[in-house]
Amino acid sequence: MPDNDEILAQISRPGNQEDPAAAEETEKYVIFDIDGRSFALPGAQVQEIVIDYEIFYLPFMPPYIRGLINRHGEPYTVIDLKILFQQQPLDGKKFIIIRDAYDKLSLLITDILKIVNIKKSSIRPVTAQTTGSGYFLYTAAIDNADIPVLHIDTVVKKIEIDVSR
Amino acid sequence: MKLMSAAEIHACDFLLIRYRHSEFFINRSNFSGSVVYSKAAESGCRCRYLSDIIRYGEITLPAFDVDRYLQDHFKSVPENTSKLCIISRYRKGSAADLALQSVLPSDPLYLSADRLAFIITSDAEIGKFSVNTMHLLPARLRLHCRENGILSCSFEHHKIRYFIDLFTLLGSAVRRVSN
Repeated sequence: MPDNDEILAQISRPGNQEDPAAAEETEKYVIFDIDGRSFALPGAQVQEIVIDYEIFYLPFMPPYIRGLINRHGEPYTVIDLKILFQQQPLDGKKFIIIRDAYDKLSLLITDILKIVNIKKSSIRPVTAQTTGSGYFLYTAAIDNADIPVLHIDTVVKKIEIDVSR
Repeated sequence: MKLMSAAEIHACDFLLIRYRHSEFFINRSNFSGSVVYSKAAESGCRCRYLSDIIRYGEITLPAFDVDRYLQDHFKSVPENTSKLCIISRYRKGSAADLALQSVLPSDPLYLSADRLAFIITSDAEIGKFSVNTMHLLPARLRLHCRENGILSCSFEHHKIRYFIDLFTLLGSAVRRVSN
């Protein structure tokens, strides 16, 4: 059993007081719903959640770009992932504003489900059977379900290709 | 001497065209006059937006139907059906000239050497508007929008206001026919 001095020495040790070997690294994810399907996005990529914004139509765009929303006077691209994955438009009024230093992007969603810390050991590769598997980094095991984690860079790359045609 | 305010410095003359859910800014310097729309003849053009010939004084001009184009492509809903024409000049050999030549029948009677009419809804006004309220489109869409005549946008009273370039719209419409 450690004595009090040993305990105090442990508490005052610089950095994390826990034994680094014992603590498993976690990452924060935002879990959201698109018409009954759950998806995840790394928390670092989520700037804000906004609701009840009107979508303004923008012509000459691929179908999954639903238009623009007016966020504090600035136009943000609205990406409809349901069209990208299932060729069906989503009837939603909530948006995830993507943290992106270069562009103004938002995802149209049904709802935010929760924000969770996920252990690295819960991460698994995406199976080819997952619809839209090319747009996911991996899946994360949450509450006995494998939630696909969106690879936003792949979605952005698709936009760049489609609008340059 | 009266000093100009920052808003005045950044204000420019625009033609504002109104639809139910959207509005369109056109740079006032892009046209030189206007007339009430009255079709004088069919152009025989294979581009449906360039089907009309109008008379402007002693000359006849091809007319690009901006109103129809905005209804078809921007889902714009007009509040009224009356129309007018604004008259613009273009240079021989310019992109607009080449676009017109590529789709209009080569009948010199139809083609003014350097002028074109744009048919717009009469629900329009000329005024001074601040460019400070306009915003560039999202970065990854900007070039594509510009190639299709959409330069920037702003929002006003639950409406979107697109700042458009008429000659680029014309080029875009002609390109769609050619492709």
